[in-house]
Amino acid sequence: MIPTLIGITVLTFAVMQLVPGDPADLRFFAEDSPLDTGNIEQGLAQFRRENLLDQPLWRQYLHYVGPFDLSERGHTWFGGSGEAPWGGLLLGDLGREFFRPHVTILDELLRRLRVTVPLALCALFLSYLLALPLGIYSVMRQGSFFDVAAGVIVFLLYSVPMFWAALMLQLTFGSNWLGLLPVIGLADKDAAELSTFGQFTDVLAHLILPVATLTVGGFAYLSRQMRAGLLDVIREDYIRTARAKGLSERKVVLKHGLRNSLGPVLTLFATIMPALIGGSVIVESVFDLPGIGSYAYYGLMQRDYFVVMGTTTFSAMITLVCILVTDLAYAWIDPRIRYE
Amino acid sequence: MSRTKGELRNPPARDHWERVRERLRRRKLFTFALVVLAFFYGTAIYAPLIANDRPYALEAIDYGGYEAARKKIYIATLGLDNVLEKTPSQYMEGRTTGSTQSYGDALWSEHQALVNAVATMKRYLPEEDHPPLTDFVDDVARAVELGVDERRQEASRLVFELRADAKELRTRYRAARPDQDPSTSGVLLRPDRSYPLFASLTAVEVFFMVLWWFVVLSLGRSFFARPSKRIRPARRWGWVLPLGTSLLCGAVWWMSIGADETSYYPEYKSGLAEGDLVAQFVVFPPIAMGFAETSTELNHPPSWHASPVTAEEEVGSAGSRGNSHFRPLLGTDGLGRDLLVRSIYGARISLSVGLVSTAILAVIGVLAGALAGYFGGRVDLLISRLIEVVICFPVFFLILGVVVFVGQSLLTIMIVVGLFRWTGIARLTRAEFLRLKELDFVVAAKALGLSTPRILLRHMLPNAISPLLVAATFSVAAGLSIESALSFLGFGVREPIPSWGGLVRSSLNPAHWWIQVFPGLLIFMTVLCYNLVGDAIRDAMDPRLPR
Repeated sequence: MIPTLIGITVLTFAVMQLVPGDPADLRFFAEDSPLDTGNIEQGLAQFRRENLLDQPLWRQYLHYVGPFDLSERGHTWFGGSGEAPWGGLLLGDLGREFFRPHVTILDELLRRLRVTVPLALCALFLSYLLALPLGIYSVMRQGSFFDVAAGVIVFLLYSVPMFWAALMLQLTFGSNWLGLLPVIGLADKDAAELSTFGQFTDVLAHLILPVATLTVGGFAYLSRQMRAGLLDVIREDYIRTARAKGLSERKVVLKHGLRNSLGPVLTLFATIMPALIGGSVIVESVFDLPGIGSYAYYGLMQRDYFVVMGTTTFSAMITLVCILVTDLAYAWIDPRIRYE
Repeated sequence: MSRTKGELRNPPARDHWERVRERLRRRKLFTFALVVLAFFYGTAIYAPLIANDRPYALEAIDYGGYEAARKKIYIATLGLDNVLEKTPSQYMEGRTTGSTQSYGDALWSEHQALVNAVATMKRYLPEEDHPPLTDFVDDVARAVELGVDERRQEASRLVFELRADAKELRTRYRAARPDQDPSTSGVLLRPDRSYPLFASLTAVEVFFMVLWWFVVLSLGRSFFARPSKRIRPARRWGWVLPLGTSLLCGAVWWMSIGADETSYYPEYKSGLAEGDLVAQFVVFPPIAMGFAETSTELNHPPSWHASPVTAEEEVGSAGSRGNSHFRPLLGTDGLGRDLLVRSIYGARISLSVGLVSTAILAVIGVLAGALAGYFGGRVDLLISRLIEVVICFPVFFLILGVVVFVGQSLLTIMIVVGLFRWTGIARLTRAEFLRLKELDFVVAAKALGLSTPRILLRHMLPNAISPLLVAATFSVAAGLSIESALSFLGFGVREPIPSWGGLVRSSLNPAHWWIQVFPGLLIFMTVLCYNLVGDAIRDAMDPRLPR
């Protein structure tokens, strides 16, 4: 856990060092820099000094991770004036935005988490809710029309690129064709005038398509894995024993099969969650939702190095937590696994 | 492994791969997917022959180009005179800032312009008119040599005389245009035959055009030909012939035709339309449009779609080239570029990123996994930790960040899309190698004293290839979708180079549905085909499945 954490910070830091030039160059001299580049040398030098870009790598890394602040106003141990001795990742300090210096990135991320996490969790829940019964039913009726049809549909959904799914849902349900659902944003323009219940349903209506988009990929992946895992288990000897005992097919699959195939499927949670967070960049930019994904997109568009680095580290942390939860859940489901 | 009845009845002469192929052959969907993929790759590779704004063959008089060349003779001579008026040191001082051209370079570049101009003229002039031009070029070359040899005075005098010659040549070779004005005096030009499209093909394109046939034929032979009864000899050098032939063709092309841009006339279609280019005959490709070529039909719906073109859409003036019977099968984008043409060219980017990134991640993943699995201990610990760390990152975030900051070139995208996804293959390889290293054949190889790389690559890797092959197939599909998502967000290759994801992005207005539907459909189909292939291979290689 701890080595992985350190690894994450090192990797993020290292990857960003690969970038030619430094963040200052990127921001001031990028081809499509949003700044106008006249009379900028002074700002450039100041930016470099404030962010330690003119100092050795280990100092930059330490400053980035914390808990010491190594800048001019930082901790006295590192030659600072001691005005602001602490900072860095360990204290949850991800820096500030460049174009809106009053905004700290962590606050912004936490604020936007309230959109992304419910979205992802909804999608995850729906994926499991749909995939488990589908997988079980397919295996119980193996080779039936239902099994084949479900297999084909799942396979098609599995191959749909997420952004295209989002666009097609927009086209179909948006005003162009069916006109059933709102396709942009989190709430209507005049949502404030609605009653509490009205506001609730309004937000819900806005969330249907994004959640559906996120669900498509996760659901297809899960139900394929579910079916394959269950089929693997069904071929085991103890299933034959169970059948020989004269148990009903329902009991065989649900009690003997499902319980033994559930573990691997639940661990997929740790695979799907990062994919969902990564996918939030697409979904949130297509549906224009104020979540982490659209924040990352904003950072990329503005070439804001610290926003990009912050969102990446942050999402890696979320993934790490998910992996941890999965490991614990796995131990809980399968008592044979013990953690010292 | 348990044997099924069918296997007992058949003689066990066929090897594992023969059986795998047999199973694959029975999957209709696998065949279908393979054909579709071959078709897509073929279209991508042969894109310049399918859609291009240059004709395959052209027999024409290029009056515009000829006139420009005729005037260039005098202008280049004047330029030479200008350079020779100055001493080398004066010239060096007078250069525009940033120029690295030396005095000699300046002279030779003027000479080169002259040679090109004369070459253009000779293509259209009758044979008997060539000698004066040849003599003139020789004289100029002599003058340039004198100038470079520091005998500036002589050179200058010579060029001064040549100026008169140039003026005379300029008037003498004025072209007559019998098609426009029968009474004009001047030289009667003869049409010249050229093959502009083929001249524009690069060696790399030719290489892949040849290689494609080999790949398709060998795939066809593997899956659709009757298996021979004979025991198949090991084909260790099977790759030499296809690769060698393709390389050879590419090299020959590169040396003979590849670099020939002298016959390039940039605007064949507008030249023909405006009368600067008078063609005896001209053969255009099936779709006579380049991938960046604009038209006046902005956001035109597909031609088969019954929707009247509104006046507002007619007004656009992005390009004023005459496409009199322009029928966009898949519609056009906001600049009036044909979506079909752009999709055909976009296939090149999208498909190649999928393949190349997978090659990169396969190399990294197999290396890391093999080392971890074979050596165990500290190496294993280190690599496993690294894998754990990389898995924590939402890959898409990381790729986005690096691509945006490192630069949106095709090469960067290929490398980055490959670089962060090697963990899956590495884990598979590690597991396989952990299993294999205990087996007898590896112990035997070790006992024989074979070198470690040989044991790893020649003995263990071929036995671990099945799961890797499946994973690689799926990863091509994943790479392709990641690239298209990148381009869709606007972080892919830069305009005007098309890629499927970027095409979807070119209009997000729901009224222009064709722009979002068709390129996306292509991505979907390709991903689907790769998944079908991967699925089929996995099932075919699974020893537990009956049949």
